Amino acid sequence: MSEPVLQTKGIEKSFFGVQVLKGIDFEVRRGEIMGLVGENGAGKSTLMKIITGLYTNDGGTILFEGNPVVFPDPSKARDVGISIIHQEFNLFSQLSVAENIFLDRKDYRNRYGIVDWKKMYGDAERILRELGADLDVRTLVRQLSVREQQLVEIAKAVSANAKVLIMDEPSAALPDNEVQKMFHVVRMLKDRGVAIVYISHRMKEIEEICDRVSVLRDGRNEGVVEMSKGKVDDVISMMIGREISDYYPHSRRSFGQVVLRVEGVSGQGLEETSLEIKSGEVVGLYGLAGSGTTDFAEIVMGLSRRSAGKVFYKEAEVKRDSIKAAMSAGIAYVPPDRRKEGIIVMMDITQNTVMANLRAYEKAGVLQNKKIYEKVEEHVENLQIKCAGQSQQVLRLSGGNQQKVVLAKWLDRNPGLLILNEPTRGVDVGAKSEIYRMIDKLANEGLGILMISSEVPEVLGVSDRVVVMCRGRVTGEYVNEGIGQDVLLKAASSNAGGEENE
Amino acid sequence: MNKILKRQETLIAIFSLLVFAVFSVCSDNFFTATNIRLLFQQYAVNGICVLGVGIVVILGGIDLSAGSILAISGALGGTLVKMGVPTILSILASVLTGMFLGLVNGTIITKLHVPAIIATIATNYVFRGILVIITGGFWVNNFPKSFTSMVTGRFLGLSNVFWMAMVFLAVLTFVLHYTNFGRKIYAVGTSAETAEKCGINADRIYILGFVICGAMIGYAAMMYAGLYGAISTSGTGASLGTTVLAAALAGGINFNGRGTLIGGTIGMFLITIINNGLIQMRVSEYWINAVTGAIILLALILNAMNAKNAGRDM
Repeated sequence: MSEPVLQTKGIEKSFFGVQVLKGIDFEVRRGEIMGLVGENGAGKSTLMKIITGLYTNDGGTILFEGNPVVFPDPSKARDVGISIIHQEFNLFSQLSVAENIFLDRKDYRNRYGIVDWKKMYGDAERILRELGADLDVRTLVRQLSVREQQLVEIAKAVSANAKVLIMDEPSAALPDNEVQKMFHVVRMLKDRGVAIVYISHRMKEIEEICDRVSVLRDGRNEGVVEMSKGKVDDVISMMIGREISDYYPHSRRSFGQVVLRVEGVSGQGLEETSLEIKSGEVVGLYGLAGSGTTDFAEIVMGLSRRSAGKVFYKEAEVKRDSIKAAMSAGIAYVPPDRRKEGIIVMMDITQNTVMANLRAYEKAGVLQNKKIYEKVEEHVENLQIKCAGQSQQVLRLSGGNQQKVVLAKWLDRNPGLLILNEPTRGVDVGAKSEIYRMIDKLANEGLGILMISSEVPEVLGVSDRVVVMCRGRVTGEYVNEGIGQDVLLKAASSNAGGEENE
Repeated sequence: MNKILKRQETLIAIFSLLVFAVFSVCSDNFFTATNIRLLFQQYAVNGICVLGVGIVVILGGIDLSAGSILAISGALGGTLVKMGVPTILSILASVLTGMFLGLVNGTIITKLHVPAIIATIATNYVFRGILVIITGGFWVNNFPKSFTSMVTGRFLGLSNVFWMAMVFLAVLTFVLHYTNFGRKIYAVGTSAETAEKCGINADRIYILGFVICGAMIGYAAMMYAGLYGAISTSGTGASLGTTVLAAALAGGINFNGRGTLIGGTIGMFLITIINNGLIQMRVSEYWINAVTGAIILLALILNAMNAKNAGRDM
């Protein structure tokens, strides 16, 4: 086993008297992909910021290639070969790919101080080609897809001869179907001997790409796991500090009448889909990106056009293409993009919570603020929303608590059917387990729940029944008893069903 | 207490009082009963307009066609008054005209997906052009006494129109903060997409905002006609759109669902005080625009700094 390229020993850091890192040891070797995981606040990003010189540590040492180093700022770290790609890219959208790669480099001027475009374009092309990217280096960055922009970031790091590449939530901004392409590039860098630190919340990815995983909890080392199949459970229990079996609570319960019946519904991205959900039942809807799961939810909810088919809520037909009709029937929908579709960040918890149910608080045209206050207080307590008070801006809440506010907003309508679309995306493991417990509790109370998710473990952990979609059609339906991950994955990638091949 | 002090409204109110004090000291003519009365009267028409435009800005929109809407509504209502139509019906006609033009603006912006700034720059020209063509550019004036006396009258020593502005302010503030519709305006202003996803028809709220704005301007137009005795079809309201917008912004109304109509009102008072004060100080006309601009800029900087601080310590 080779020596670590980068190593930290006993790193300590406090902010305003609060110790956030309590002696962290961390290492990554040449040609290794080292996962770094932990709940929000565990200290991952602080550690990375110390390594790259954005913060200075109060104690401990950083060793690079065996020598102690201190970087006064990130550019010095990059000069020796430690690059970081942040979740939010640092790119200039109005400049070309090549300019972005070499922007802060001085060796692209000729002796008159004029930019040597030929050399710059040539070098940029070579670097991107080596990464297997087919990009015109003259294109403006704003015209690129998110994945291509990420490639430009990687190219920037590679051009600085990165020996260590830190990737902070690299998949967060990517569409699901492009994550594999990103992995391909990451593996290529690994083969070239680059040490990669991979920070992510997504266990699926950690399991797939990392060689080892370092787990942090509350600013301490919780352990390092050599990754192989099945080890991901160990990682999760280390992160949350308890057994994984508690992670997905799943009560035995009996189902009631059918709350939602969808018959042969078609529309944009969806073809003749049928589905039934009973009260008290949690149905997991699994599919890869573009499989039609979100289209299904939006069509049922009346947010996008339904060209054929019928939707029944407790035997009453729901009018098509009207979110109002779906809402007043008793369907609630928590959309996948929390910041864009779920919450209004500038408003406070109170206002967000009652937003979908304003009419209930109206008396002779005037809002009943006292009634609102009491009701929201109830939600904050039931959902355990951690906040400084109802009047706190939602912007200041953590992802998990924001998601609970969105849940509160819909539960306030007392729905009979709750559709959750990727309810745990961008939420840390602690909040995830709370959301799973909430789903279980709501189902026990008789709510029908449709949970759309692209994470297999979560689908299998929470659902009573699993429906798999692919290319706008249902390709599998299973009672959730001992079905394997592979079964779901296979159904999710069955090319528009076996029918055509048979 | 601290919270109140940090509010943009309070800040601009203090700033306005400061400017007011400076003028009172620097000019003998400023702090006199006659001038204070004049000041409230000068404020009144724009003060009604700022309520409408303020709602539009909270919604994330902008209305640069306010001046042309004022001219058209005023010309139409004024003509009706001259023809002997009862005052109340003439005002109603003016208000309806304003509402219709607001509807046009709102519809173009939401249905044709034209940014509000571009749409209302265009309609500003179109509305004005149509008015000049129809009237041949003539003024609408010589209104009957019965009409003008109602508008120029005073109550408790201050212009009737000022009191009307206060009534509208109270009503609209109530609507904005204590009704469904008001909550929806703020919701759409901050995030139309989220609003849509919880069953709020964002386009409709947006259009309604423009319609209310048109109504306010239509009403203000008749007050203008009554106070000043004439509507110049080519000139009246030429700078209204930008003045009122500046007032709204200075008062802390922002394009993303932030601010209150009380703030916009205070902002409008500030601008009125500056204009009036500079004239009383006999500042050369060449300087008035520059100084007004500079003071508004100062208010905006205060606004921006305050917003930044507020963002930091929450």
